[in-house]
Amino acid sequence: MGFSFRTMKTHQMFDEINELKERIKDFNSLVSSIDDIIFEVSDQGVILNCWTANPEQLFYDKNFLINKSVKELFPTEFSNTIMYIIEKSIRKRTGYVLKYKSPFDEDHDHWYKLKTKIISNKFDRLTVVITNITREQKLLSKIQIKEEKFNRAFQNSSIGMLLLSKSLKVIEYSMELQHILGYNEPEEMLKKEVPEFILESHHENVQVAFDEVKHGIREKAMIEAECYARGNKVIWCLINISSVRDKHGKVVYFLCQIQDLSLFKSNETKLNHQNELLEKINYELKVKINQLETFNQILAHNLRTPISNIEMIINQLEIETSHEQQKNLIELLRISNKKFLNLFDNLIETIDVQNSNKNLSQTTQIEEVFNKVKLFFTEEISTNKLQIIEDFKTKVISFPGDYIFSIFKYLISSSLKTYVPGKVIEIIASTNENENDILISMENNCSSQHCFEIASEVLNSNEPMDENIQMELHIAKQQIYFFGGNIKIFRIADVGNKIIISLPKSF
Amino acid sequence: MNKLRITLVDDDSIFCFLFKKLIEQYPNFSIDLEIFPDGYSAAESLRNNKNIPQNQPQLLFIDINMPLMNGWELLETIYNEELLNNEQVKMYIISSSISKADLDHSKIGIPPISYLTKPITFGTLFREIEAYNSNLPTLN
Repeated sequence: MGFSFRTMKTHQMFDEINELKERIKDFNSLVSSIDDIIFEVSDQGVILNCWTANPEQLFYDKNFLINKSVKELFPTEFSNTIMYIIEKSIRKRTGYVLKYKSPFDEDHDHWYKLKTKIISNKFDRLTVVITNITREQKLLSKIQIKEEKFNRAFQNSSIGMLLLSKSLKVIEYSMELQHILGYNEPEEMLKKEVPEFILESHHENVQVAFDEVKHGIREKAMIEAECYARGNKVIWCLINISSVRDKHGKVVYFLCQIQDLSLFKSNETKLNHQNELLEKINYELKVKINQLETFNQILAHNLRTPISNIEMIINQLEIETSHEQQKNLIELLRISNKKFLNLFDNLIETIDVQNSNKNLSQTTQIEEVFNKVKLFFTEEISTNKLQIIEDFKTKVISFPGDYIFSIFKYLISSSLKTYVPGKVIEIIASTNENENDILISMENNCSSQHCFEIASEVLNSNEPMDENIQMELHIAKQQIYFFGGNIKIFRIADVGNKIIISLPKSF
Repeated sequence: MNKLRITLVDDDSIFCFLFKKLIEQYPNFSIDLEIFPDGYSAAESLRNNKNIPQNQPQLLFIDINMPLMNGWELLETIYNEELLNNEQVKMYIISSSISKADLDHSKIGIPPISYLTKPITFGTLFREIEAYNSNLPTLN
């Protein structure tokens, strides 16, 4: 019985030992799967046991370490720190973490994490887990450097920097942006959202730019917009929008670079103004040059014609013996002289008009020109001889108004010559435009097909000036051709006559 | 030479009258003068006589500023349509214009053409006729 009881107890113990052995085996197997080093350390800092999957991580042989104090193994300063943590962990019954760089020269660029863990039923020892965190630490270091670089670039940038949430709320901004927008307190801007900084008329464009960046249509967007600065002051800014995305490619932040364009815009406005002035002067010079060329042509040819005839007549008179022929020559002398005087007077009058001409502006309000025309024909309109209908689809013409006035005046005068009582002369004046040209047309209801015939001869081709033709009309025609325009005159059956002046939109 | 054929193309009736008077006073031989008031009618006449050398002018005086077809256009038409044999015909621009542009135009034209400025005197006209007659170029 006694033997049997002992045998049973021995079996039971044997089983327990086997079970314990199995558990140790499992435990070792578990430890071997962990990259960390696990120490069992006494409250005096003596290593009681240790486990690791990689024994070379221990630097020492495991047996050498057992029953060694941390003070024996590590430099004083480092071992003091470890002892302090061990003592505090046991006293406070809680774990602590220490990240440290290897205290050994041969391992100086390695980082480790020491973590103390309380063993629940033990008060004189604890577990210390050492993890090699060199790789994580290096990555963290790189991240920190990058973050620092970004922060420095963000904060010290000479242009305004703005970090926005994906819903366009201000998260962070640089001092320069604060300076550009005139804010003093950071909170002032942080309370706002992007649309609050943008002038209402630019909201849509700015939103489109953000949306395009958000949806990847554009990697970055650059947009000029008027922004509200502090105190509702408006300034022009150049906004460069880019995005910060997560690993799934979704926008997390918007990053904006903002430049103050006030000075640039101010200079641009000045330059535009100066450019407009130069264009106007250039245009006026072109008109003046063409006037001079036309005058030169009149002087060189038209005026010289009667003068040279006069000289030839005088030469002939000197040798002419027939009284009858002398009379003829004297009559020709009178005609030539009269022709010369007419041309000369006409030229002087035209030069006076041209010199007093203050309306060489590049753009002409056609309605203003026509008001002048109607004023000229006030009597004919009031006595129902003339009716003028206007249909101006294009209001502004790029041509000096006075020349248009000359042509209109001449055409209406020509039409009025066909007036018979009871039939009002009806004039339809209109403007229109196609892709390249502005078209000015005038139509009458004159049944006579000869009504615009003289106009046709004067205006329809590049004919020389006849002494009977008004010089101002000749110059007006020359100006139209000079600026690349043309004049077409034709008859509309059963209606009347029509003239179309086409002028290029740009010279 | 028994008769010299001269053609004047000019729209100025007074000048045409005076030119005719000058021609009438040429003493050495008789001259047939034909006058056209514009380039268009002159070109028509030259076309009609294209293959009849005896009807073509030997001296041709052309004004520049004329209606319908100006002097330069007429010269271009004569050249393009080969209306005259240029080796036998001497052509002149005869104009009151002293514009440099017109003078330059006459020099660079194809072919270059002599330029006479109005007023025309006996001396000028008769010298050109004599030069033609003796086949000696004087202008250009």
